[in-house]
Amino acid sequence: MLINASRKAMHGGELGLLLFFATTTVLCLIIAAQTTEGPFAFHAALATAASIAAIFAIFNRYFERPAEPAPLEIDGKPNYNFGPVKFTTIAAIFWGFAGMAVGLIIAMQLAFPDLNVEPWLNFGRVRPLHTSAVIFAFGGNVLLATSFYVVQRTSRARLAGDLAPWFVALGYNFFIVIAGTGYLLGVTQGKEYAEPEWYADLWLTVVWVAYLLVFLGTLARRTEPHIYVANWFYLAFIVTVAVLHLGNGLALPISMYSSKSYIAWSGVQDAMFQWWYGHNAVGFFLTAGFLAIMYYFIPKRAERPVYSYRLSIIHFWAVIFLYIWAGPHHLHYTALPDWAQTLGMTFSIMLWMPSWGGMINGLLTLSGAWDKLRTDPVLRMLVVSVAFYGMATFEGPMMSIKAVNSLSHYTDWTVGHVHSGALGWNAYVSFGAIYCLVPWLWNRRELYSLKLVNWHFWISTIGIVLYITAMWVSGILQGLMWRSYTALGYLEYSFIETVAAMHPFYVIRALGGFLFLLGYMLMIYNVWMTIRSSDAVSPAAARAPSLQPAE
Amino acid sequence: MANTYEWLARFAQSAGVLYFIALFIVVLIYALRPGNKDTFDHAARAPLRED
Amino acid sequence: MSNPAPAQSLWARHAKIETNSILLLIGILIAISFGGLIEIAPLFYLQSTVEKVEGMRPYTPLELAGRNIYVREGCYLCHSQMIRALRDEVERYGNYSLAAESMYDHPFQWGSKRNGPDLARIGEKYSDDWHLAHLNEPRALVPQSIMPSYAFLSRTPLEYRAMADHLRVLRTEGVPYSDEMIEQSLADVRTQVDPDSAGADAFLKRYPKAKLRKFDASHREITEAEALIAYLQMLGTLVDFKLYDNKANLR
Repeated sequence: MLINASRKAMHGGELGLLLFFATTTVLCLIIAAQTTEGPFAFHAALATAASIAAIFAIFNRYFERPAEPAPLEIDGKPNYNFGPVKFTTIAAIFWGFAGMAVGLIIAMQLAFPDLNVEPWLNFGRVRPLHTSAVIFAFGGNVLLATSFYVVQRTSRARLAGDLAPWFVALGYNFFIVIAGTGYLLGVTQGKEYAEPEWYADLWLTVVWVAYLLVFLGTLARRTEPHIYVANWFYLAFIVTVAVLHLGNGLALPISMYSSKSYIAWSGVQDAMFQWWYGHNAVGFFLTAGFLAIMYYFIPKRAERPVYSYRLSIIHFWAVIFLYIWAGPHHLHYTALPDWAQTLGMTFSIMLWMPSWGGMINGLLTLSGAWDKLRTDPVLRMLVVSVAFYGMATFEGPMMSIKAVNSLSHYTDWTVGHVHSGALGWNAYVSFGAIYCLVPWLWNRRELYSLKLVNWHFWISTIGIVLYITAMWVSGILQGLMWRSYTALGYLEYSFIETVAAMHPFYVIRALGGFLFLLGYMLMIYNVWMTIRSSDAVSPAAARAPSLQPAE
Repeated sequence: MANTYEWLARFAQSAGVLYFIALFIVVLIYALRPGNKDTFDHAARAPLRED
Repeated sequence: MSNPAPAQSLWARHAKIETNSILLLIGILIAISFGGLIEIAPLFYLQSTVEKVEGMRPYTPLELAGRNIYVREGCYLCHSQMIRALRDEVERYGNYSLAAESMYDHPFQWGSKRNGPDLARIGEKYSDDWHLAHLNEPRALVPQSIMPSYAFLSRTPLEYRAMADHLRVLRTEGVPYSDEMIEQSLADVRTQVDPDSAGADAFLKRYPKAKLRKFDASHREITEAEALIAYLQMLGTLVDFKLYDNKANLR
């Protein structure tokens, strides 16, 4: 199909995607017209609009682009494709704010229940919005941005595909919109961290396969002989998340015109699938993916190779071997067979060793350059994130011991543990990566203000400390109150008394969350001012080390 | 049925460990083999090479 | 998706390296499949995983509709339905939960956090009126409660026209709904809140131990609150633990 009479023609990707979006337009229109469910009709209409916008964008881009595809190299240097990286970086910053603000709201709701606004803003609907927004929207976009950046840089090759990387970046964010609005409207599968309904899951599968192909295609193009270890972690993250998503999300809709589906598994099998998925979402999304960030950005920022490349290889295989077994520790003392619980506990404890191997590898990369921690707050953020990783991966195995778990399970201790990992490790390593990426991508010599980074670091650190300690105290306190007996052998506290005892800690937790959000807003301002500033330099100069002291 | 379950459960508890040890040894050999040193040293510097 | 043209020569040049990244991919797949398979596959041998228990039956259409509201509102985020085999839990909530008790639960709702109490055996511990008032304004009954209010549930009529589709899909997934249950599913929703109706006896035969009554006396039509209360009132009531033989299922 030739649009111009000249030699400019649409390539296969453009034609294929046009056909694809034409199909989705028709399909979604039919669904929007046929369904009797309001939220489903809304989503179908949204998807129709998005499909039409995509068709328009593809045509528009076709008319604007040169006839030849973008060259893979210019003057012997790889012609990197940073457009999708920029987009996902900005998307990550946006969703991070949304997700953390929603987190603050639900923290306040637990302290002051009158803040619930039924039906859309009740705790039960907003909490999945918070977890999905911070993990999948913020974390997911950080992973997309950094993986697209790192795989190009360490392969010295342009990102594979012309439209494919944009399809992944935009398609993934469309999934986020569908999932998030769905929760508020009451569309949910009812499985923690896997709440999106069947049609959102289906869409994510398509996007994820495209992501895997782009990543593999870029690796295949590489001019470096060895695949750098960060890319191993990214690949494990992409592949395993695909497997987990398919296994845990297997569901049958009650009809094509209904958002409601029933998960294929039931009862104890569903529980096992859920926590096989749930724990490996932590293991491969929040650990493997973010370890990849660590293995690129810390060496790059510290200007020295990783402490031991051999250790990083052992770290990689040990982590992915062991993590996949650990799920049943979420089901101690439940109706899951005992042997599965014991297996889960054993492997969880073994996980401690490779986790700390990775932590040591990250920290010792700094050996001989510790003074940089004093002068470079970005590097400090990255290094402290690794320290938090070490802390969380010690606490995790400890909590997986059945005796400890009998106290900690169902309490805020779990919430505190999750947040020491999520805030201290995932968010900090992401902030560090974003602070590195923004000047590199927009060709600025340095960030607008390293002083603001320093403020961000300290304010959010105080926030984390308040958050975690409040949850430790409330969790252990409530766990002990539940099992406390009077001298006569009766349970000492009614359930509601243990709820009332949580109030002061919920207030402190909300304060901690507020400080974390406050620090985050400093980052938004800093990034905004960096991009807006007019002192553009050459790409090489932007990547050259040039640090001034923070104070 | 019960036999299959018993068998699978026992397999999970014994062979799983053996499998893990075997794979771990393979990884150790790969990572520590002196012949791979140059490859790894080169690879470790990948983030630092500029173009 | 799209892979632009110049790849041809490049692919040939890097055929060997390409194999490496595929090898890596395969290695990852092998590493992650064993753990999952070994832990999950045996659980499908139901006889040993899920005990034989008298009294379990599929949810009535009204209970199922109520359960779907429970899922929709994210109740599982604050309420567990899994009493662990620990002394204090058994004393607070009742007999520890059996795997069989959630064998028809798609999805399971064991939960992971107790901002509120466990609900696995909440059935018939409070009156219908108590539940309705509590859903409308929890702090009117329990001043220190941090539960959101769900007054809109008793203002929203229950949507149950597609009930037969729900049962049909669940049957495909292994829940033993009979043809009769599917045919009668719409009528059964109405029958369950109308004990005097002609179909009451047949309904009870289909769903033994089901509770037949008007769960929300203040509204003539069937509300979402009514379905939810019907679900809550049956939780943990199917298995009679006076008759349950613990030793028959030792594993």
